[in-house]
Amino acid sequence: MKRAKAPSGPTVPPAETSEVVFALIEALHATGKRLEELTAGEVDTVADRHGRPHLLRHAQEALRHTEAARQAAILNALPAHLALLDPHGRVLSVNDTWRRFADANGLRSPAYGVGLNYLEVCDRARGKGAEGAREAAEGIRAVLGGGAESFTAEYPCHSPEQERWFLLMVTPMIHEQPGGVVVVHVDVTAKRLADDRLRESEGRFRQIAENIRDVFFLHEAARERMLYVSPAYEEIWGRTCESLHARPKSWIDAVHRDDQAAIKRQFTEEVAAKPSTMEYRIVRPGGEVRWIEARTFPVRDDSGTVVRIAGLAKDITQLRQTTQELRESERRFSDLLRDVELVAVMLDREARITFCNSYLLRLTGWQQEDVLGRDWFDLFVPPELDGRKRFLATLLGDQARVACHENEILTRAGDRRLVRWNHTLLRSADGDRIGIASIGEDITEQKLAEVRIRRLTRVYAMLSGVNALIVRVRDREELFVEACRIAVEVGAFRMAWIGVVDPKTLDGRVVAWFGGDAEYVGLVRLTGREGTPESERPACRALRQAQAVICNDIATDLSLASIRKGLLEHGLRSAAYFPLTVTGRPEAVMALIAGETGVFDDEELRLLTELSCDISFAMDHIGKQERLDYLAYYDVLTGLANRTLFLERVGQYMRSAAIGRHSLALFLVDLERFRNVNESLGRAAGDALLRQVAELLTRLAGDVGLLARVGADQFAAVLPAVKAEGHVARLLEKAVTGFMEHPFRLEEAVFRISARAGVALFPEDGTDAETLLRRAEAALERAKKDGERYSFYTREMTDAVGEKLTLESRLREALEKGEFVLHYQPKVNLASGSLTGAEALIRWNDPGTGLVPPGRFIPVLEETGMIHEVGRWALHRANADTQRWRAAGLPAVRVSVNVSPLQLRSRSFIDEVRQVVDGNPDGGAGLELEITESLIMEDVRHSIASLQAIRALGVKVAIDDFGTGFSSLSYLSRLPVDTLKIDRAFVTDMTAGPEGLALVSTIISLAHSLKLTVVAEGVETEEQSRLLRLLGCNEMQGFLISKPVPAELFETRFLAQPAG
Amino acid sequence: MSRRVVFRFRLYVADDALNSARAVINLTALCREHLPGRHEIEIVDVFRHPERALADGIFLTPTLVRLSPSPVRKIVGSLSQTSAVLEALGLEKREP
Repeated sequence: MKRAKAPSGPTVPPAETSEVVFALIEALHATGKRLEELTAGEVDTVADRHGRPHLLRHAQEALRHTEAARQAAILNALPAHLALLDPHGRVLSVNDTWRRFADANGLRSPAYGVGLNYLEVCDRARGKGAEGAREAAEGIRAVLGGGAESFTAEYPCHSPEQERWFLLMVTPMIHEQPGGVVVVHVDVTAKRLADDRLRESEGRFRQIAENIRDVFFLHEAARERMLYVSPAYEEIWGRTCESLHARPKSWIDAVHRDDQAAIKRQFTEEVAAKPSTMEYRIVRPGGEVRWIEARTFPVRDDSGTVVRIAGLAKDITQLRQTTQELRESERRFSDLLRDVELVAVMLDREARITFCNSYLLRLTGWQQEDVLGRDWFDLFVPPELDGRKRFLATLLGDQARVACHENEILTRAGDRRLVRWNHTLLRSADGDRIGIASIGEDITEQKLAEVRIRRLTRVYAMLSGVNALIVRVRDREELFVEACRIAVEVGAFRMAWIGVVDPKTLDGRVVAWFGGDAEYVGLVRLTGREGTPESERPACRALRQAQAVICNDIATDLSLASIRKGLLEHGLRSAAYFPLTVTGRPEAVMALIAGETGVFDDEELRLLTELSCDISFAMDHIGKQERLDYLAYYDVLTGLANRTLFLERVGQYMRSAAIGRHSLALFLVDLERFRNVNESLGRAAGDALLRQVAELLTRLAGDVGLLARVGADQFAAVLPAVKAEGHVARLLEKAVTGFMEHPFRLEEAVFRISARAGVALFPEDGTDAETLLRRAEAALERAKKDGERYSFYTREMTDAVGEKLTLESRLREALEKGEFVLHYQPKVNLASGSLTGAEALIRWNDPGTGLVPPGRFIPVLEETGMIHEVGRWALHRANADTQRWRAAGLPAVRVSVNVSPLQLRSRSFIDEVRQVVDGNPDGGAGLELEITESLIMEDVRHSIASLQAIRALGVKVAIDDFGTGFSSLSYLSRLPVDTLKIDRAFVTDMTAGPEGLALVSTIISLAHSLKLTVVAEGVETEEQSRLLRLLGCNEMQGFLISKPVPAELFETRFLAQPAG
Repeated sequence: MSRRVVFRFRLYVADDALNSARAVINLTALCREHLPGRHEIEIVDVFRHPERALADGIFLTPTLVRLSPSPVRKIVGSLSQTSAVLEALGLEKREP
């Protein structure tokens, strides 16, 4: 352990002071040295006796060095260039940054300028920076002389590579004491650049303000004057900025007189205290009015007072106009809803009526104020239709957006109207289900008419059946039983009975019935007497009064009260009773009883009365065996009607044709060479021939009631309803051919007889039976003269028919010779543009005339039934093409084939499709059938079954030409289909106006809600394509992509190089 | 048992004078190597606390005082000669 001794205190001798002092210093030195030697330089301090530490010299020196090094380090670490100048301006020293700067900028001078006079250097500067240098020198002199506390200046100092700026700072080396300065240069380039950018962006902002189409303005609220407006003012206001600046208060003059007060108020300090927006009108010098939207912001001084109003004014004339037009279009739409001949009603979630149109009010007899806010079900829905509220709940809860059904609603008077509804879910802007909107079509009359037409058709059939019966029946019993059977089986009555009355006792009984049972028949009491308990029953009244008695609602008819229960239990709802009168005296009564109420209207009654007359007539002639009467109406030889009866019947058919608004055809058939037969083979053979002809005609006509023998060798036939153009012609062809080919057997030999026919049409050629027959005779004469097999009364008709028949035979030939071809029209995905499928279209390549447009021959194919064969061919052809492409490794796109109405109705069609599908390795994939909407709607139930069967085979189904009827929307959700094709007409209308666009948009969203793919047909322009894409339509086809092309072309152009 | 003995040192220094600074560095290095986890060092600046130096009888800096284990020992100097220091602190014989 080492220990240093404390130095002992010095003693000072009185004399030789300097010597003593000197010795003392020596001693001190020696002591210090000794101490350091003693401690081997390992010790820093030594304490005196009071404990005060004293640094040893070497430690002091070390400390000084350290301090100097630190200061130098600080100076060198500074990013500024530092130089110390002496009072004369000579450079004493520089820091590392200064040196580095000098190095980097090629300014290396001996010792980096240390020793040079900085002031002189600055004074001598020449060239670009000379002026700045002189300024710097002046500043440094001022600080050196004590005349300034400090000096700063910013100056550019650009190097060849970049622009630079420096900040020069000069401060005294020691404050309040002249003696040199510190010169600092700081690189402020970055800051300077930032400043420049700011200035630049401010400049740009100003440019924007000056160039923008809106008007910036600054308004002095206190003095109501405009301080500044940007140049757009001139454009919008039509006045110069100078004019406003010259008269700052004049801006208010430009404001429309009616808006001035409001604007003045708006620009007061109080109102302008917060940002606001206003709209007002200005009047341009020419008198033109423009709408301005001005947004204002208060500008406040330090005390918070609004001193200025800053603002932005915008010309919204155009915008307002557009908005106005939009409102107008909305108004038109709601007007449409209001005025349309459809029920429009909206319900909230609680079934309260929130909107109804005047049509509903007219229909039901309520006033609007009675209806709004009321419960729909309380007011309009018949009480037996409970569960309708559940329906509303289901509708509100269901995901489906459209729902349809039919139900009756009550009018104020208690009547019922049948309405077919389409419901749509109403959603709030947030998407909540807030109720339903329903559009309803009053189909009461339509339904009634349908039912009535169905009934009348049956009654006609019944009439015709009874007529045929009358011809062949030989006794009353058979007549009665058969008449009842025809009434039930043909006339669709629930029950029919006939009762006869004993002329002496006037008591009667049921002798024939059909459709009921004996128990019921037992209920019937029949009497011709008055005053019995049964005398007032309708059947008895009919007997007594010799006129028809009608009971259109058994449930309410008092006369049937006693047996009402039994009748109702048997499902009988209405009845009619007809007296059967022989020579003016009622001998029997016929009852026709229906399962519906209100069956017997005037038209039906008239026909049924006629029927009862026919039966009466037959009773009469059977009863009296009066063959003469019979002969008056029938041809004894053939049993066919004679001319008289035929004309009567034709008259009847004409009346129903007029009602049904359809045509009727009357044929007069003349046998050729009949006279020869008569003469060569004898009269018996002639008669036999006539009978065989009558049989053949009956077979051809299908109903003996349609035929008559009107001359020795002339027969007449009536076609009560001409179904379509071509119908008559084909019938004639069939008949003429049938005649020619039919082997008539006379005396063990086979004869071929040919016939000619003359045809007259109702209503074109005549409006009464007699005239029509005469016209048919005239037509027949001409056929004989022209050597034609048949002739129409109108020559044009004959020509048209001939042309049609030529076309028919050409088409038959075309099918045999394979002149039909398939063309393919591509369908593409609207979003991606990629090929998704093709529609196969039949073309007829007539070698004589080239490609025949489908519109010319497809209808003929359908009329002739050839569509079955051609349709089958098309299906197989399209399938074969598809399979070939698939086998060749080409893209497997879906090919769709059109199906004709007749095909879908045919029972064998599904089997045909199944055959095709079964032969494919991948079944029905890749095949689609297109079926027109109208066809599906003709018989919805059958269509649904057929479509389901088709889809079960894996084949897709598309609805073609969609959008042709409102009613179809209601069935759409039920149809088992995959694709919906929007008819080209809608696509065309889409660009014509907002309604067309809205319609297509609706169809698309409807289809999507039903998860159907939507294909737009007939797309011809980019605009249509763009709109369809916007509307979310899935696919399109049309001339924009390609017209239908032959299979080979389709293959090379679209399959081999998929459109992309 | 002796390995668990904690060495408590107090080092008197003169601010950051050369030898004092060295002594601090040497002491901490020595402790880290030879007395890991069982040492405490207190540093006293005599310029700031001359009264403590007087009380402890310290006249020279730097001076290291070993407070424990007893007996108390004092070593003057920059502690640069490690082996001598270790010996003085009684740690040398523990090294092989």
